[in-house]
Amino acid sequence: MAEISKRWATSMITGGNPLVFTGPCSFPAVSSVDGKYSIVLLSRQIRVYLLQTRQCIRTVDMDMLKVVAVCLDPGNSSQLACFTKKDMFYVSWQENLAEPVVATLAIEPTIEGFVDVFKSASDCYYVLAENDSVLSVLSVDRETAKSCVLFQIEGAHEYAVSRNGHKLAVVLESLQALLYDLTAAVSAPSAKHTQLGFQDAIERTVESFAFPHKSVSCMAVSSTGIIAIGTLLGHINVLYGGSSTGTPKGFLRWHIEPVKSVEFSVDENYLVSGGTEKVLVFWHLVLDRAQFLPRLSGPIDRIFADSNRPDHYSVALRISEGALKIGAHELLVISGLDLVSRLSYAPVCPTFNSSMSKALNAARKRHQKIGGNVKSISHNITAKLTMHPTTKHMYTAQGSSVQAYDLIRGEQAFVQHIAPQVSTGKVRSEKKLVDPEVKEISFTTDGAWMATFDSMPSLNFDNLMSKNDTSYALKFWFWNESSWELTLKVVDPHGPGLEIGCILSNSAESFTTIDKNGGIRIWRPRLNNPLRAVKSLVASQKHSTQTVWTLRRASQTSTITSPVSACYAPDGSFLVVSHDNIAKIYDSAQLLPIDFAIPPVDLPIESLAITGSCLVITSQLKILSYDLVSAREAPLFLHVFARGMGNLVAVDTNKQLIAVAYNEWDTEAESSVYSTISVFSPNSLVPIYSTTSHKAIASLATTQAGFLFMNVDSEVGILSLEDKKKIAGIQQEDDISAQMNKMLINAQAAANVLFAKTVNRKVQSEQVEDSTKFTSQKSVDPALLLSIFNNVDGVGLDSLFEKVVRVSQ
Amino acid sequence: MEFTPLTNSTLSDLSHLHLSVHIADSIASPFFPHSPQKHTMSLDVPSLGETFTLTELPRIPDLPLSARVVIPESQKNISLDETDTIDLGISKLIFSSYVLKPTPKLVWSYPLSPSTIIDSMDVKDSLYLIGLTERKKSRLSLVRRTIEASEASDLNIPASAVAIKFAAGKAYVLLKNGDLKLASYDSELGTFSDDSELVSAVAGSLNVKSSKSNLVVFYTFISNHSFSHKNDLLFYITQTPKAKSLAYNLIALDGAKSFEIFLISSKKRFESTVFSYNDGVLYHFDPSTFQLTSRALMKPHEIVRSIDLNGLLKDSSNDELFSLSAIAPERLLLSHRSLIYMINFKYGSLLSEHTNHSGNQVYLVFSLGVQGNNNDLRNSFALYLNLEHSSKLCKLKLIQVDVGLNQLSESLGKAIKTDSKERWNGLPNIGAEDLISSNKKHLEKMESVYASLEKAKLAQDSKKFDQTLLAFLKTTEATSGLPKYSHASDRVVDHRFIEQVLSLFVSLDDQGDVQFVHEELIPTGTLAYLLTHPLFPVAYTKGLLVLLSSLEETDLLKRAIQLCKPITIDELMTELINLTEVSEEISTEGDSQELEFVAEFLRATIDRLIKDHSLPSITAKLLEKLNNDFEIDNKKLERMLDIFINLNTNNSWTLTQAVIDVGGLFNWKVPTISALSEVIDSKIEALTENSYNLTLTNQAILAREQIQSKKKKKATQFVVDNIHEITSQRVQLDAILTMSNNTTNKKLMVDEGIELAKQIPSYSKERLIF
Repeated sequence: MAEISKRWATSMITGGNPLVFTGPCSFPAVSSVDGKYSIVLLSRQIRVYLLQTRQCIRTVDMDMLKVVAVCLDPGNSSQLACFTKKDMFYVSWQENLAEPVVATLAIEPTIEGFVDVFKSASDCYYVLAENDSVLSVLSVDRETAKSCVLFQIEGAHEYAVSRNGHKLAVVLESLQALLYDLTAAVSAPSAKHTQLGFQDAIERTVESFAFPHKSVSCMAVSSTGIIAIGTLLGHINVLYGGSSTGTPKGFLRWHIEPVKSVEFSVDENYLVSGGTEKVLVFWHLVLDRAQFLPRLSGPIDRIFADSNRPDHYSVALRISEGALKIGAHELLVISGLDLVSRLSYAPVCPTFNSSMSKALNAARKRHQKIGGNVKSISHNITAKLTMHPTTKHMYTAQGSSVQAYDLIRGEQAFVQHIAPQVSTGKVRSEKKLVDPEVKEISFTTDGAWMATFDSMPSLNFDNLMSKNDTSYALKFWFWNESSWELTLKVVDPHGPGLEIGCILSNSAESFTTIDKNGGIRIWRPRLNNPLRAVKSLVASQKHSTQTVWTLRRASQTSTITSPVSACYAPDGSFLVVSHDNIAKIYDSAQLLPIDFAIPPVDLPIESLAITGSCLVITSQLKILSYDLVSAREAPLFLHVFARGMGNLVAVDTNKQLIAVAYNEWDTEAESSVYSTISVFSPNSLVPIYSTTSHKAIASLATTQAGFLFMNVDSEVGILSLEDKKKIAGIQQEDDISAQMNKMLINAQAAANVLFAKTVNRKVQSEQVEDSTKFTSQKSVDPALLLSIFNNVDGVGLDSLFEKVVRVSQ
Repeated sequence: MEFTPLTNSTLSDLSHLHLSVHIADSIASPFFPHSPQKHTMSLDVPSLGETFTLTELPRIPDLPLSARVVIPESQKNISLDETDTIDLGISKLIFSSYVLKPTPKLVWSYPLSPSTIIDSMDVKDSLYLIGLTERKKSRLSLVRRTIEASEASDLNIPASAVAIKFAAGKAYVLLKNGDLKLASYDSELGTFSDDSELVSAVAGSLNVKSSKSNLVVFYTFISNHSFSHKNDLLFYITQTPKAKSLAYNLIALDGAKSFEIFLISSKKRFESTVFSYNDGVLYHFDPSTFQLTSRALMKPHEIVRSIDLNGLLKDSSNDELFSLSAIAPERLLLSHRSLIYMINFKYGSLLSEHTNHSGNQVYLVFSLGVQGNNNDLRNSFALYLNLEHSSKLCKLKLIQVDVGLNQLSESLGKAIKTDSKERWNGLPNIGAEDLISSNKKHLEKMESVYASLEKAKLAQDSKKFDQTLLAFLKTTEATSGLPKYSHASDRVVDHRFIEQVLSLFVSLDDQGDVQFVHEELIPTGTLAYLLTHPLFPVAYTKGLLVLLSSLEETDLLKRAIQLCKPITIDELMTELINLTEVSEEISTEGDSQELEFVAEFLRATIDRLIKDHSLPSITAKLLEKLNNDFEIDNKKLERMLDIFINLNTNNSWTLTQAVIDVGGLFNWKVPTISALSEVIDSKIEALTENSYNLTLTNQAILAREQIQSKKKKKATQFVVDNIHEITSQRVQLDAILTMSNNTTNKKLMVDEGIELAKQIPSYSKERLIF
């Protein structure tokens, strides 16, 4: 394996999560002026979708993480104006430029607490900033990026600006809701902004309502001055500002959970609201009628109506319900006419065992307690990835469904629901219902079959004593052109109460399941009706007969429940199964233990893999590579410390490489994490390649192209060899036999030429005796000579000469 | 043939079983390509099987072993199934044909003069083409085999023929100097035509290379190859005698149109010419370095891989006779002295070895190539010469070879041993800047600790031993009592270190039972700690409990029973039996305090057994342990049962099942049975009482809640002697019991507990767990 080049490269292959804007006016999906395109802003990529075909037509890779607000450049609609806290830059989204960033301007003076850009005029941008509950309205000059404070209010709790930027509604901490008219400021040319005096002019327009600020969760204001305030209790208050006859009020009641977002439709006839119920509610403001969109796939965090596309609503749905931080969103653009989604962008959504923020808190506490050089992260921040062997989709389990993510297109391919669940959102008491959880996913080597394992806690509606009993289901799925089709479900596949800890497959037609008590079961398919199968094969309708997976072999279980993991030998001749901290080898055909001792490790083994003749054992504390042929420990033997270490080790069987990731808490910079991925050969302690980053790695997986990694922000990257030709191993052997064949063909060709020559010469010598004649002087065909020079590697000069002479004769 | 009880322990015996099958069959026939044990094939291990003597060779001391026997070229393409006869050319004697089934038997022979050496041979139908050398004159001899007299036709050739192969109407003859010629013959008559002479097979060859002094050192005809060429190939290697450099020649055989594919000269000096070819790969063994190397046929001068056989051939010198034969892809036979090795080249492992009487010299003559990738193509055979040095008797022997499937499972732990001084690994932390130096640092530390442990051992200072080791392994301050392993704080070390430390004060005796090295050196602290360590080696658990109890190390014993992870069921069962005996002895003496002391251990052992092992395996183990006299066993079981009844813990009751299963249903004495039934009765009684009490309490509560307090009268108490009644009462009880909302969430308990409780449907039927 010495030929493996050391030139490795790391590259990110997904764009990351959609940006989350805190301000009321920016949304990570921006519509183009003509409404045909949607520009989706991700943490490291800008994706442009053509709405009509729902296809991504362009991607621009750039770091967008620090961007706090985005709008279309009012001067040039093919550019996007992005604002960070310090500067603004323009990105061309329509054309493929070598350098996508067209211009960068530093904002002077810097705006403390930059929140959002609420209006863009031809000469300046109007900006909201919030600093120590002082809400400021500023303007930023387009040309010079000079900022200028126009208006300030103290004690702002929640605020909203109307779409045209003329109305500002604020809920103050002093139990008041205020409505300001900003017209004076936003309609004045930029040059006049520096002349102070807007403050008083705006304050004069104020309308005041008494309103308790504590329950406010979100608000919106229309251009006519109607303020909609969503509350934590679920009702929406509507305050009709701008009315001369007192202060009419209204209540909109439907939500029973906190209202997460309210937004006026572009024509301002409707108010749209949403929350954890996953339902978009359309309130007709005049007719006092409500319309509901059937439940969406996640709780609604943001609703946004884009004035460039008046009949569409953009929605940000939270992906993981239990996530503490704002986390990842799925973006939807829904047509207001037929209520059908026009665009959906979902990032990779794996299930992390524990969130990074929790892990960091714990690490900090430990550091404070013990002090010194405690860098390790004790929480299990990893997630599990499964790669499909042929389509190269990345599968991640998310609750009761599985997401397949297309890494090439950088999009979610589809979501497959594995187990039935309460498909609607949960409210109140329903929260106690536990959803089924997909725990294991595995594919056969040809990718035609998928096996999943899910746990299904019984519903405790009835408060029965069986409520703590969990039933388990093993399911076999067949890939039917474009989706997985459930063919068989086995309830409690290893007996009641026994949970499968590992599913693996080493062929196109077998799955091996191992329960947490160490019992192994092998499942193989059997056609239900062999006669029909033959017929259907003739008719080439493969799936017309039902395939039944049957249990072919089972081994005994023990009484101890502990983590298991397993792997097959590369040639499938045996199965290594670990139960707790001891691994054992089984004959793969008969499941009989083979008398071969593998050294124990300190803690339960989390993953096993075989590369070449080396067994790589990973536990929470150790990575041990053990040579199975020499029954001796290989040099790669490391001390690690990470819960979920099994997800942080990937083994490439063909290239005989092991990738190990580890995360460290950086004691210097409080909240940052330092992660390293190293690629090792089992025969050396010196890594072949190492790369570091500042995001914790959550998972590693092996693909043909290289090692795939995912960080805790669910961004996926790949670690691959630059020079793909040098990949050694099987491919090289293939090359040799191919070269051999080529050589034989060449030699045959050369020989044919030679024989032809010999015959010619004989003919000639009979006809023309006089060799001095001009006609006997032949020119040598260089094409014939060329064949001689094939395979001259190692050929002696004399024999080469001989060949040349033969041809030239 | 059926092998039913295939457990871990019997697996090792299986190979013997398999062998015995071979022996049984071999009486009838040396060949058994498809013996009836086919269904156990997957458990077969690649092996060198039985050997048979085919024939004895004349005593010709001056002829090297390699020149004594020639196998016809055609033999190499016959599969094992079709091999029922074998043709042999024996120099200075005969060429002959043998039937192999049922027993090897000479069926035809053609005598040679005692000065004739057979160089090469091929057989086609009944035609034998033989390359002979007699007093430096070489000729080809074509012999038709007939029942009566066989006639021969000769053709003189310029140099001896090292290889002959029949083709249609012609025969390829590879001369000693590396020239490939064609000899034509009349296949009808079976003679050379009168005017026949050798013609050059490779057209237009100027024979620049072929000098008379060249010597063919290796050749192989390659047929049935997977290359994209319709004809057979011939690969041969010539050596120049002076420069000792090699030239590799690959020729495509196509009658008179044969052509050269390559001719590669290697300038390197080659002393050894031990080559073999299989499946596109040329193997070479170098006796001076003991390196076995592989080269692709395409580039025979470039080494692809090499494995080191030093571990195998450690004490041999390089001028000894070696022979190499690739019997299947990546599986090679290597002979040396009196040994034949089967080597897996892919994994560098020694699959099997066959030993003849020491002092004999073995030389491989032939091996039948097989694919060795499925169960039908794994059996083959090889022929070798066995020269007895004392008597100079040379025998041609046949050895059966099972080449296996070239799977990793066949090579597990069979690597050709190489010396390694590495005792353990330093286990550097992955976060370390430089893993190598970190490893070195750790190693040095471990070495110094180990050195001081050795010193303490010499001084027989247990205390020092404990201090040194625990200070190293336990990073936190020692707490009171015996030290215990903790994965959160203790040093993470190589399992081999633990093993080495243990081996300083304990050793294994001949039976594999663990013993202390010195009675004086028992570092209790260390042992107490290591017993709780998950890396405690399994090998050191055999006899450990017996040893600890004999030394009266009660704390350690208890610890070993409770916490030592690798303790086997075997050990625990032995301990259980021993403890019952001890307990029996004490109870006759009547020392209640001591009895209680033993009971403590009994409880611990029972708990551990039940915790870690399933009841069927315990029962099986108990049965296995009690294989003595029926009477004695029965007494033992009786005693055990008594003790279990006395212990009266949950686990002892579980274990009672095992004892009863082993003892049988009807083997118990009346007192034991009545004791058992007494216990059961009392249990049932307590159960009934409890359930009534519970019901009453609930009723009382209900009654209090209800304003209309109508006292229900329960049925009078009656003796419960029927299981059905108990069940029905339980169902009644269940119906009355109020279900609580077992939630831990306080809010929910207040708000919804009652709501939920009201939702209990009438159909619910649940178990009540006592």
